[in-house]
Amino acid sequence: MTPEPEPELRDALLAAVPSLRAFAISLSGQVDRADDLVQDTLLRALANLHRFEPGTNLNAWLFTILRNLFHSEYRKRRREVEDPDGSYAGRLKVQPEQGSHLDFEDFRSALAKLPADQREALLLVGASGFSYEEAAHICGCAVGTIKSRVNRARFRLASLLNVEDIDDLGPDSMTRAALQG
Amino acid sequence: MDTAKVGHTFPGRDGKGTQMTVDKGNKLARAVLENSRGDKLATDPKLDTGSQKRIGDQLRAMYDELMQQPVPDRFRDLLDQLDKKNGAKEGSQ
Repeated sequence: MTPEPEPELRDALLAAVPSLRAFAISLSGQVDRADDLVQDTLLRALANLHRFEPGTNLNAWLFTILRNLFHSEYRKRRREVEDPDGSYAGRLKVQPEQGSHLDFEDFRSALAKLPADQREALLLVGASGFSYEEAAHICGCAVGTIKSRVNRARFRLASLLNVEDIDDLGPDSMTRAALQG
Repeated sequence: MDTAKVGHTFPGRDGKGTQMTVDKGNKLARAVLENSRGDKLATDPKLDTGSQKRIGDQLRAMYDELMQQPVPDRFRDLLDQLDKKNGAKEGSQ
């Protein structure tokens, strides 16, 4: 029934796992759930191999599957559990055994405060290496929408992390200081 | 990154470069161009490049750390199993 996965394809799928996991963990904030998502993604991909157009971006295809699985599951869970944002933020902090360092704790919790669509767009473009066009394709929305979400995500992160304060040390303030001195 | 492109101008070697259409259209084109720049800044708050870079660096650092994690055996097993099921008994690993 399933078309025979050639060794190269198996290797390609295996090679995609680290980036799928990184995306799923960052998206869901939970390693266990992320691994279930990745597993479901692989199974679904294998069952639908005939739909994959050879020569197109395998990673983008896999990310699309994972993203859709995440959202359908998220909608289901949302009906069951209230306060999804709060629990997400709480969960993000509880994964130090996965080798995450304290350095990233602030960043993770800031990321958790973003609306899901912004977080997703930023992860695709800013971390997973997809173009705006590819990210738009993966999320099923317009390129402009992705750009806007990425901008907003960055802006929000900057204010959450007080990045802009640090920027006062930039050329502008130096010029100001020079003029004052 | 987009901010870098804001300074882009049309090639005007012969002095006519910016006149893409008839005179009437030219004014309109310029207005639209300026407008779209303005819109971008107005609707979406835009970070300066320094802050953008810092955010980007932190994001990638966090992400790289996740990427470095060893692939759990379950995925290798899953793909190996499928190989066997399909008769392509690959003794890899």
